[in-house]
Amino acid sequence: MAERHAPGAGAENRLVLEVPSLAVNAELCRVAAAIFAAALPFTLGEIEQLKVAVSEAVGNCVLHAYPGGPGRVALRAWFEGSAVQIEVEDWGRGIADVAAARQPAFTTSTDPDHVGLGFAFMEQFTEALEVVSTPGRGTLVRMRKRPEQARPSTAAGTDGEAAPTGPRRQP
Amino acid sequence: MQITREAKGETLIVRVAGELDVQSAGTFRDQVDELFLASDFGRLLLNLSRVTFLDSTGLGAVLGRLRRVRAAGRQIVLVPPAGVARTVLDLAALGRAVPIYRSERAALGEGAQAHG
Repeated sequence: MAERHAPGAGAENRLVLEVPSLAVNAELCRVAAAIFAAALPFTLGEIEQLKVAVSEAVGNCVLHAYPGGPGRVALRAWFEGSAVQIEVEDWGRGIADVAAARQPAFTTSTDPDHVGLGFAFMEQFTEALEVVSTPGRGTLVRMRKRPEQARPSTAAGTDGEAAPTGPRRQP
Repeated sequence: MQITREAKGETLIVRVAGELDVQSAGTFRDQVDELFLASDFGRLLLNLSRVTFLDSTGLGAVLGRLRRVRAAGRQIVLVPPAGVARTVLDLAALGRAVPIYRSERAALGEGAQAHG
């Protein structure tokens, strides 16, 4: 049976991935999320934006969640209508003041190279960003992204051309 | 991520290819500091045109090199990446912090004029 990845098809698909909070897993998570999301008609640029957003969320877990050593990071993704929903969760030290942490250039790091733009990039490259955190219990980041080109009346597949298995490149 | 270097007179060209992220930023920082800051070159041309992915940690490492090169009283210029990696640089208003050129050739030409 031929696989189809038209919008709507595979709507029940779901991604659940749990990895240790190691830097190497930022790439694993963003690539997994990108491949999952590519079932929707995202442009390559939008997929790259999503990869940055996921990388920032996982990067926060890697850099900040577990000062005592690597802990668990969960990546979850699913579809809601024409959007992909992505969650990145850790069970680390949490964020005392989420509103402050979401401000550009906020950082708790002593590393002079740390710019504190992680949440700013998540916000910039997604349609909605929600951050729930409890100090000592962990942090949940929830993001939603929808293809810019998605229009109900111009859904793919009506001309008999198979939907691409990856994001469509815009001319 | 791969880093290569080439000397052009007073300028050291450092070319970065691949993904500059939370995993590779530390290596990038150490290699650039070793190649340039520990050298006698007066000017660093950081060519990021083959960077395929850039996150805030990678961006921070780039900004950190700017700061350290300037603090050492030396010059730094950039050739930026394309696509979303370029957007990431632009969101940090990097163009206001450092001269950005379309190509190595343009960066080297401008440098020669500045010296003339």
